[in-house]
Amino acid sequence: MQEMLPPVFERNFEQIALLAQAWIHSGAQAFGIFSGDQLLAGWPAGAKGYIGSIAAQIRAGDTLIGEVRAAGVNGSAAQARLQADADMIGRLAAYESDLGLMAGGLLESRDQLLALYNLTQTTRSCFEMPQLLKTVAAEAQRLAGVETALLAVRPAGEGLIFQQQPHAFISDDLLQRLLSYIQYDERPFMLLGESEAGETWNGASLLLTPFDVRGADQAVLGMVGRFEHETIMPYVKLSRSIAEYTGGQIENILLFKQGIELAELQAEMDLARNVQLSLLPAQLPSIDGLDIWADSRPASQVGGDFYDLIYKPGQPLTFTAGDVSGKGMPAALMMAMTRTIIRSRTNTSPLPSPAAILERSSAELFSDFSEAGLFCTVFIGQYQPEERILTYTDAGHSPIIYCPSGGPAVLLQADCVPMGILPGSACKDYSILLAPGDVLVAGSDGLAEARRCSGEQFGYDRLYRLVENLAACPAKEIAQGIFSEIDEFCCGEEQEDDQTLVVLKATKP
Amino acid sequence: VITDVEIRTEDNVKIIPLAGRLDTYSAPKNRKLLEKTLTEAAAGGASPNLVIEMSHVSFVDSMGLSMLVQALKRARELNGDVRLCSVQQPVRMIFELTRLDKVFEIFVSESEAVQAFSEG
Repeated sequence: MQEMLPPVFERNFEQIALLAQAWIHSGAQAFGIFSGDQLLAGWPAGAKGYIGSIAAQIRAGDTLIGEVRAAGVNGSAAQARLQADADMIGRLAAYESDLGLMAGGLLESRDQLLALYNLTQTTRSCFEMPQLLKTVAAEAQRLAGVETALLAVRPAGEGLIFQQQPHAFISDDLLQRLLSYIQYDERPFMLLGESEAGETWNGASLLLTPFDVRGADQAVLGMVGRFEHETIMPYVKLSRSIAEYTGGQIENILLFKQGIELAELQAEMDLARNVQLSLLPAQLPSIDGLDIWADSRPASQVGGDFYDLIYKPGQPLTFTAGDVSGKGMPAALMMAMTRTIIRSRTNTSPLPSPAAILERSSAELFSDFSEAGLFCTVFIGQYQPEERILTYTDAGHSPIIYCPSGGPAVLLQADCVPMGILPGSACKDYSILLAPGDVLVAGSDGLAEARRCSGEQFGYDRLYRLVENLAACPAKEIAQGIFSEIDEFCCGEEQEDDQTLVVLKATKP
Repeated sequence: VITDVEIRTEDNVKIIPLAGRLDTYSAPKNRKLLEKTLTEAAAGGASPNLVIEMSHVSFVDSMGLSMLVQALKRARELNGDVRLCSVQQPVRMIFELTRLDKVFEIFVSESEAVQAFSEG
């Protein structure tokens, strides 16, 4: 290590010159410092020969890097002093060397930080998983100077997304097998030379670093290079830093995707709610001897409830209450169609009976319901104010509660299966008398099935008692009373299904 | 609680034990399960005959009903059928109120439902 001393000597010339002059002042004829056989400097100026001199070796740690010599002095005290000076120069050289290494290390880590900074810049605009993985893999490959870098992520409940840069190194199939092998291990995993599958990788090795990502079942960063067990540590550390950063980015993308899906669902639900609400009659008809109130409260995941009131003076009032199975846009569209068809089948002359309206509508809608995989429960009633006769038919719709003046409330049972299940309709017309004080409540299943947090349902019996208790009130107060009682029962729980009410109360003309 | 459904086969009839609430949340998963079972049972031109064991079903709403109706329609298209057994009283009431008890054949026990298939 003869090249180590000259730079130390040059940088510390003044201090070494002071040492030399101290020797001259104390009687030495000459003092010199050597790197190998080469004289770096001698005192007094021009002194060359050091015959009969004493000498001491300069060592940096265990390495011999040079020698100091002095002439014209003798004895063990002089020898010890010279050795002390040599040791001091040696330590100086050792310190400078350590410092140089540390500076080099600092530079290297600064480069790594800079590279990670570049990585953050290039991945900032990535909103798609494959694009992000591709970008990071390319940067990781460049950063680590390896042959290939790869990234694989399995978002929760989805398939594996896998990118390798700059070229494919392992097959999807092999990666899948490796991933199932390291599934429950968080330590880096290294495969040397040949894979377990027996494929030859021409001496290259694969270093796999699994990392945690919220919202993903598995994530791994891979580097392919000529690693040795002794030199792998820097790659393991670099892999860790890249993986940690990438994990955050992947989480962001997963959250972003989730946000978009939620927004899409919300938009669909809002649209469905608008469709539903826009189709409900804005005004209630005014009929002598009949008090009418109707209202529908859509759930956040809109169901397919609807009601309709069709009235021309001189004709009976036809009213419907229905519920299309399912939620969201499909249910809202089928509900719109059903309501329209029933309306057009009602507006024919002469006015058909409820069972006839249902039969014709059913025939028209069957194939659409089948295609959509949905069905619809419908109650159709017709009220003749003069005779106070209510004629009705019921295709699976419930509850229809009839409460004669003074009670008790009873359930009018459905007569035939809902629309859209069987091609034909076997519905019949039934009639009851709706005398002054009698009440008919046509509700939807969302009322009886309303739940409180304990899971308990509001149920039919509570509905009957409630209708009996409210029967003396006007129709609007009966409806409002039922809604507020259900709200109280559910104690703030979110409404799971639409709740619809049509209330008819016969009054004295 | 969502658990894996264990489908059994007896006399060429697939028995599917469903459990919990058949509602908006469970319908998509159960719909897939029934579709898959129907498709497998109909492989090779056989009539897909299914029995849905309902003893652990506590609630059915219109989504749940629509899922069952869809399976029934599909099975009948393929000359098979979907039959129900061991239906709890509150659930049975839903079938009665919506008159779907006229559409589905409902049996007291699993063995009766399976046997009814062999009797035609």
